[in-house]
Amino acid sequence: MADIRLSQVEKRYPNGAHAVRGVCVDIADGEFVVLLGPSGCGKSTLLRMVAGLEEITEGEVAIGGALVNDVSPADRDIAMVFQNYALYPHMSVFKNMAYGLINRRFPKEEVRAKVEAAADMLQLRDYLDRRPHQLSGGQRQRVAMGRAIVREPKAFLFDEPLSNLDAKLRVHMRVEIKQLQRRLGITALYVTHDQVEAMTLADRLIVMNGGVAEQIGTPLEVYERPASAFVATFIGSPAMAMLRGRVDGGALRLDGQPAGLPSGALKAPDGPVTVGVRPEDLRLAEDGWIAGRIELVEHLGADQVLHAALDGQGERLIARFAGAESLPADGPVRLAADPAKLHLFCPESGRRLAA
Amino acid sequence: MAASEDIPARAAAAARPRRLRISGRTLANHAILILGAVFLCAPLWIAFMSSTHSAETLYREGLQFWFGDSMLETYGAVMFDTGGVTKNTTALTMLGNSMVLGLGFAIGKIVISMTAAYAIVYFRFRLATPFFWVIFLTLLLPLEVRIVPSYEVVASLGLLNSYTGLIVPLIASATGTFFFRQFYKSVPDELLEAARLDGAGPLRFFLDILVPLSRTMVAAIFIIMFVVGWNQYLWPIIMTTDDQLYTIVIGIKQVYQVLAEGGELPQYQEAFALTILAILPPVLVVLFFQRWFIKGLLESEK
Ligand SMILES: Nc1ncnc2c1ncn2[C@@H]1O[C@H](COP(=O)(O)OP(=O)(O)OP(=O)(O)O)[C@@H](O)[C@H]1O
Ligand SMILES: [Mg+2]
Repeated sequence: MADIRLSQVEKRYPNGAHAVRGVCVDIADGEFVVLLGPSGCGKSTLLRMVAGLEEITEGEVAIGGALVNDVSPADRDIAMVFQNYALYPHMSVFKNMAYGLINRRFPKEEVRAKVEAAADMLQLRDYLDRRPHQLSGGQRQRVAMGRAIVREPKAFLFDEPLSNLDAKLRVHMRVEIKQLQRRLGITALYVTHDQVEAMTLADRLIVMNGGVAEQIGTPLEVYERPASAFVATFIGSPAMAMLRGRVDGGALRLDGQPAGLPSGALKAPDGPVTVGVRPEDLRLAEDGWIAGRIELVEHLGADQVLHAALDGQGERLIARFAGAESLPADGPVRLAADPAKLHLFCPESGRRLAA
Repeated sequence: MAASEDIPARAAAAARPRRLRISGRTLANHAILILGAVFLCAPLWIAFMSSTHSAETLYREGLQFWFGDSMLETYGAVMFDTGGVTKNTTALTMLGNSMVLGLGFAIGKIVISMTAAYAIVYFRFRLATPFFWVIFLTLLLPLEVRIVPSYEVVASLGLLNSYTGLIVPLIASATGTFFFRQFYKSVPDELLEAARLDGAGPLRFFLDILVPLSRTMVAAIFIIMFVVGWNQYLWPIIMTTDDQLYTIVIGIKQVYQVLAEGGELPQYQEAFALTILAILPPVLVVLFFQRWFIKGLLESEK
């Protein structure tokens, strides 16, 4: 059990790929932090640098207050769960879980006791003699978990541990992982590109893009105040609509659109902006300031999802309504949103504008 | 209720014999295979049968096709008496020498090529790839090509007429290294990483994980190499002048040489017996390891 501190961590691969750029984060003892981002953004690389499997080009990684840049993976006292589990195929489940303890010269009885305790926790008691290939995917996943927890490490590192499971099992294991981590109180760093997984598991999220940590915050913070246009569109499903416009003396005018928000509605400085609106913040309004043409309305039972093409923007927009609301099936549509619910971003840098 | 009525019906269906369909094609295939088997086994059978007859019978009646009555005598003489056709050694000594050579050859090759491949695949040292290709190039230089310099080296080390001199020059193996290299490259990297996190050093990883995973490879290479080692001819015959170090393959050659030189009544039955004895161990190794090998393949782990 320990905190993890990353400061200005950089990774350049020998082939020149700049996979991680200046990531700084303090992970508190017992915290569950999720690394979220699109494929190739450097999540695995960052995690593997914490594990010691990848050299740190620049910056510092400290676990439990001790700098570990030059400490070997085995001596960092962390445990990792791999996407494909990486179980030793020729060893029994028992031996798989015990291997790390045996290498650390734990006495035999203690190894047995620890492995059995972990097996009980994960309902693997009946499978201790089996080989990994005699187990189902979910059981293998649990063995990988077991191998991580028997050592009572300072931290758990997970690299997309659930992506090989079917949807139902994934939800189940997600809950198990969270409960286990809570119960053991061990710091966890978890990589995923599934935002539902990220939102439900995380105490704090790190949203990465192109090697940069775009935003670090609780899931709610990230959802409600995305720090950049990238985070805004990446988090939330259906994705946030992004509209191009101009702020002029606190008034908003969308490019190519007839209406706009009156002056004083926004506090952003004058100039071009990108306006983000969550689908659930949009409502139908006769005199709405967003004009478009309905392309499709999907009924999902509890919800309805409206797809519209925006006039003069060449963009699409998605709005969500309650299932009971009556919506036109096609034709022109006017929508509006509460100015307080808008997210304003700088069109060049993509950063959030103070509003 | 429905289910319990179902069961006898299904059992009956299963019990009904499936119609055997033998097409002309299957028949032809079998005929070819049987013919081939007979063709391959007949000389062995004749050699074995002839070895159970006395020298006189063989001299008078030629090759034999059924058991004779002097099997124990002949095999006893070949195995334990010196001074027969094999001059100063017994077949037992020669079998022992061959066994040492076969085992030393196979085990030596496996150990050397496994460790070489391990170094090449898992250790980041400069020139690893060039080194590998240099090893691979030695395929172009089999022992027959470099036999004179090899002899020189072994002689100057004073290793003529020793097991060491017999085995060591033969065990460098480019093919073995190549096979193990390919195999190690197919082992997922995560396994190495998991082992590193589990505190296994390079030696532990090799012994605890790579070696057990290579079991089937080892069995396959062992079969092939044991037979190749057992059948080594040129190197042992050049290397050994002391007949206490003769292998069974050399022994056979000596026997037939004696027969060809003529003299008293030719001891054909002993020559046949020696041949049969020389074939047995490789056959047993193949039979024994083959089962192991197939079992390993069927388990298909990794
Ligand atoms: N061994 C390597 N050598 C060179 N470049 C690499 C190496 N591993 C990864 N990269 C590059 O670094 C970047 C980040 O890779 P990384 O594996 O961390 O992505 P990721 O966020 O985990 O993606 P995914 O969600 O697909 O697993 C990618 O552009 C990738 O091409
Ligand atoms: Mg990854």
